[in-house]
Order: sequence, then C-alpha cells, then structure tokens
Amino acid sequence: MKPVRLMWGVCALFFVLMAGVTVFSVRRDYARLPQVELVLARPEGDNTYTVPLAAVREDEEGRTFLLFVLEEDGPWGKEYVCRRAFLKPLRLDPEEGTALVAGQDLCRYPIAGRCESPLAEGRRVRFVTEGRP
Amino acid sequence: MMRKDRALAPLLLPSALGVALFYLLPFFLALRQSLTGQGGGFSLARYGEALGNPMFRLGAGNFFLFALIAIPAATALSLGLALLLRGTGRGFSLLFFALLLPFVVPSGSTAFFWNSVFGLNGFINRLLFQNGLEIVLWDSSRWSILIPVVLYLWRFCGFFALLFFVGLRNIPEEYYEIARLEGAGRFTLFRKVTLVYLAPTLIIVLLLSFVCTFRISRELFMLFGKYPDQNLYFFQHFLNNQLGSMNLPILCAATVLVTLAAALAVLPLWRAGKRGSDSFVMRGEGNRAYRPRRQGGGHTLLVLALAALFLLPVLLTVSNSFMSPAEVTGRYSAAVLPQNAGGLARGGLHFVEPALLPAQGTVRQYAAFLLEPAYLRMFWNSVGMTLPVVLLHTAVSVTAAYAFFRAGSGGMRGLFALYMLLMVLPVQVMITPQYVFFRLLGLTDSWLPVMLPAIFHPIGVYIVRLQLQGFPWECIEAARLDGAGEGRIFSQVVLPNLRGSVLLLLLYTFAETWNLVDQAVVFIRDGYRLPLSVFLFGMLQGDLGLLSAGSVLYLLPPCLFFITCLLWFRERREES
Repeated sequence: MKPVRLMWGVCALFFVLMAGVTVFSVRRDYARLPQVELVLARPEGDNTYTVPLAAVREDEEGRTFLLFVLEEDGPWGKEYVCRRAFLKPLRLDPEEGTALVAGQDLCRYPIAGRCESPLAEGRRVRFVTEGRP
Repeated sequence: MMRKDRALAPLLLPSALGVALFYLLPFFLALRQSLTGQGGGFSLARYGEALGNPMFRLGAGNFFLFALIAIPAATALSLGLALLLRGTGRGFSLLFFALLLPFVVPSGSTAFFWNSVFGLNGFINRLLFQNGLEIVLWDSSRWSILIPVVLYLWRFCGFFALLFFVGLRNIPEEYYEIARLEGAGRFTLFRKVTLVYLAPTLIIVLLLSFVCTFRISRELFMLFGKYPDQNLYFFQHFLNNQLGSMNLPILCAATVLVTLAAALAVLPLWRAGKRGSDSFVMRGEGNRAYRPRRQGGGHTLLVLALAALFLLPVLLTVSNSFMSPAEVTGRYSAAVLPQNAGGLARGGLHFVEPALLPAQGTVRQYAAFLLEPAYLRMFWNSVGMTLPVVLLHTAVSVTAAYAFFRAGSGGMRGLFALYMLLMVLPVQVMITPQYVFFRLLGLTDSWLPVMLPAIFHPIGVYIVRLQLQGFPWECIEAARLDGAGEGRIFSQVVLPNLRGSVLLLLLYTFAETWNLVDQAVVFIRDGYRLPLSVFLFGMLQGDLGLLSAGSVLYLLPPCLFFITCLLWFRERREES
C-alpha cells in the first residue's frame, strides 16, 4: 500500500476511534448518573405545598432543603441538574409520607424525590418516573 | 477596470467581499469610534489617551525590542538550517520533520515543557545550581525578553528554513560551478551567489517573520498570564486587558495606531520584495539544482542532535502523558514531596526531573481524558471549526491569488497592497474592530466571528501568489490560443501546478485554526462551545498529567495531517 494512502487511513481511523470513544463516553456518563424520581409539589393554598417526605433532605448541619431539578446546557445537550432551596417543613405526616412546606412558586419546577444515591447541589441526574406527592 | 480584469472578477469576488466585510468594514467602524469624542463630535482625544497610557507604551516598547532581537536571529538561524538541510543526504526527512513539527504543534501542548524550562525550579536553574551558580527568576530578570525569543525561534525557524530551502533549490548549480571555476572560495560563493539569488526569499522570510512575531503572545499568555512582569508585558497584553474591561474607544485608537506602525514597518519590505520578485530568477527545467555531496559522520551527528533538540518539547510531553499523576507531580513539583525527596533540591525548592521514559508507564491519564464528555465536546469543537476554515480558506485564497496574478490594472495592484497590509496585522489588533462589527450584527457567542475572518484572511492569497510568481506565462498563452477561458485556464493549467503552495496553505491554516485561542476567548462565552486549545491554554495550573494526555491527543491530528501532506507532496513530485 502507498504510504500516503496508509496515512489517510490512519487519519480516518483516528477520527473514527475518537467518534467511537465519544459515543461510549457520553453513554457511559449518562448511565452513571443517579436515577431520581421526579415529583411535583401539590398546592394547598396560601403559598403552601405538599411534597413527599423523600423529597425533603437534610445536610450535615441539620438544615432541611428541597432539590429542584432544572434543565441546563451540558456539553452534549440539555442536562438535568439539582439546585438546592432551603426551607423548613411546616408539618410532617409520616403516615401519609408527606410534608407541608411554604414558599413561592414551589410548583414551578419538578423536585427530586427518591434516589438510589445521595444527592447534592449541582449533581446531574436522570429520571426514572414521575411520582405523586 | 481592464476587460481581462473583469473576466477575473468572479474568481476574486468571494475573497474581496470577505476581506471588505470582515476586515475593512470593522476597521473603519473602529476608526470612526476612535475619532468620536464624548460629545459625539470629532476628537483625537482617544489617541492622546492611548499614547499617554504607560502600559501601552511599555507594551509597545517591549514588543519592539523583542522583534528587534527575534527577527534577525530567526532569519540567520533559519538560513543556517536551510543550508544544513541542503547539504543533508542521510537524515534529511527526520530533520525536515523535526524542524516543521513545532510550527503545527498547538501552543497549549508544549506550554508545560516551557514552564519546566524557565520556571524557578526549571531545567535552566537546575543546571545553574548543579554548576554552583546562583539561580535566576527568569520571568522577571533583565534577560526575560529572551524567553519569547527562544519560543519564537523554536516555533517558527523550521518554517522559515523551509522557505529558504525552496529558495536555495531554485539557484541553478551552474552559477556555483562558474564561480568555482573563477576561483571563488566557500565564503565568496555564499556571499556572491547564494545571498544574491536568495534575496527575494530573504524579503519573504523577513515579512513573514514580522507577521509571526505577533503570534508569540499566545505562549506568553499561557506561561505568565494576563499581567506578566513588566519586561514581558507586550502591547497584546494591553489590548486583551482593555478588551476584558470593554474599554472600546481607547482600544480602537490603539488598533489604528498599531495598524499605522505595522504599515510603516512593512512598506519598505513590500517594496523591496516587489523589486526582488520582478527580477526573480527561477531555475529552469533544464538546469540542475544543487545536490548534496556525501556527508561525513559529524554532519549526520549534527543533524540528529538538531532534530532531537527541536523534537524535545514534544517528546517530553508524550513521555509525561504516560506517567502516573504521582510521578508527574513528583518530577515537576517545586515543593519537596515524599515522592521526590531524593531529587535535587535547594532550601525547600525542588528542581524538575524531566525523563524521556516514565518510571512506571500508565494510560490512566488518557482514560481520564477520554472518559470526560466535556473534553471530547471541546475536541470536536476544534474539528468543527478547523475543517471548514481550512477548506474554504484554501479555495478562496487560491482563486483570489490567481486573479491577482493574472490582473494587470493598477487598481488590482493597489488592492493586493491592501491585502498585504491586512495580512501583517496581528489577530489581537483586528479582534477589537471585529468585536465591534459582530456585536452590531448580534453574532457574538457563536463560532461565526471566529471562523469568518479566518476563512478570508489575506495571508492565504499571499502564499499562493508567491508560487504563482514563477509560473510560466507560455503555458497560459498556449491554453488561451487553444480557446480556453479564464476558468478553464485556472482549473486545468494553473491549479494542478500549485501543489506546493496549496500544501503549505493547508498546513498553515490547519495549524493556525487548530491552535486559535484569542478569538475564541473573546467571541465565545459558552464554555461548551470553546475549542480544546482554549481549555489546554487554561490548564497549566491544573492536573499536569491530564494536561499532558490532552496535549498529546490534541497534537495528534495536526501531526497526522502534517505527515500525510508531506508524503502526498513527495509522492506527487516523484510521479511528475
């Protein structure tokens, strides 16, 4: 084979490999994202909402917060990222598995519910199913 | 306009429109802004502010000093290398490859190497310390101006040597034989034959070396940041920092001032080049070019040593990429750590320990780099920007160069002179007018402001026009007598004979676009749309192993492309 053809082949192979690595890397990255159940806050009037207990999280200092799941730009398209909002539940109902929280526009964004691994501010996630409070 | 010029208009139009839109119009917008006072009327106050700014004066002075050292040094060194190349039989391909490789290697890929040469714990200080001498803080010493000079020589000398080499091959062997018969010695041959017939090439090298002096600021930004020591503060730093603070009126005034200075510097060179090209002697088909005599072992050793010296930054980058993070940190850290405790150190300062072979090879850095989708996105951004620019720039430049070659009117000659002036303007100078222009169009934060000016940059026209100077008119006349039109003459007679310049243009454009940093930083806000060159640029303070792996992956495409082009060119030459 002529050296030039060989080199064009090497060039083509390099880019094909890079394309393959890219597809693998993006798919692997997606597969490793924690699966999260999305929930929507149910309005109860007077800026109060009912959310599942699983959506109310606590940090090391004992502060409670909700994680809203927002759509943001990622390297290969839209990504879903957890953004934290601190709030104190007004009432907990362990039997029903819900909590009453107060705040403005809490139903604007979906909230991260049950998840297979601990979630934190800025963590990228993927969805399982939409849950109901 | 002459009738022939009108027939050539379609070939020139794309380039002329692009130059007018993305260079001239932005420049006039900047000129207008620089002449507008605070009340909206005519004012020269901005020029007073720019000239009175101590940082602008400091940057301009340092740059002038740098150019004054770098241009003669590069010219002399590259001429020496070209003479060495001409006399090289064995090892020619290796030396040729080693000399040209720095030109296509992205700046970010070797920044780490240069940092480990000139740093406080760097290789030079290590040698000084080992020999009982005082170590030097190079970037703030009185010798610091030599740092950009060394970087410049390493990056561009090979390219200039190639130009000289082509010029040397065009000197017929008969001239040397006649001079030898008349008793001329080696020095007389060099002075009376080589230098005389190399004069047109010398002008071209001087012009291009002037153009390339502006490009060294990329390396300086990478090594010393936005605010380097005052000896290394160039006017490009001033322009970039002013753009960062959006001080557009002063920037526009500074742009106009630098343009005027560049025009004044280039005008004598251009006139000399034109005179030279008018009397340029091409080696005819019947004349033999100089052929190297058999060289001894000393010559081969010198060739190998030079090749190793030029390849060293790339070889060390490759070596570092296969080291474990602990080994890279241990070898290059300035602090004495457990993993480098046995190394050379002075008062808590550990000196670098570069190695061509890693102690324990690993590909973990590559895995870390390749498994991060964000890095891969930036890699493909670079591909997405570079390929269209390379193809379109080559197409636009070749057609326009042919139109200039064939045109005979004074208007076309004036237009070509304008191209030459725009060609020498540094990227940093044109960024401000282009920023003003693209902001008016609402096109910032996209790839277009980066790609469009690159596609229509006049340097491509100049490179192709250079080769066309030696094109035999008889071939064109013969084709015309056979009834061929301008389009047919161009595509079937001229284009197949432009392989050399097209190859050079492809390589040059690929290297420049693949390596672009300044334009992307200014125009692209979204981090995920940036090319990988920008990421490497900012990674010098981060994970060094990851930087090395990314650098190697990033320099592979230009290297592969470079080798393929060289082989293709050699194959075509052998075929013809």
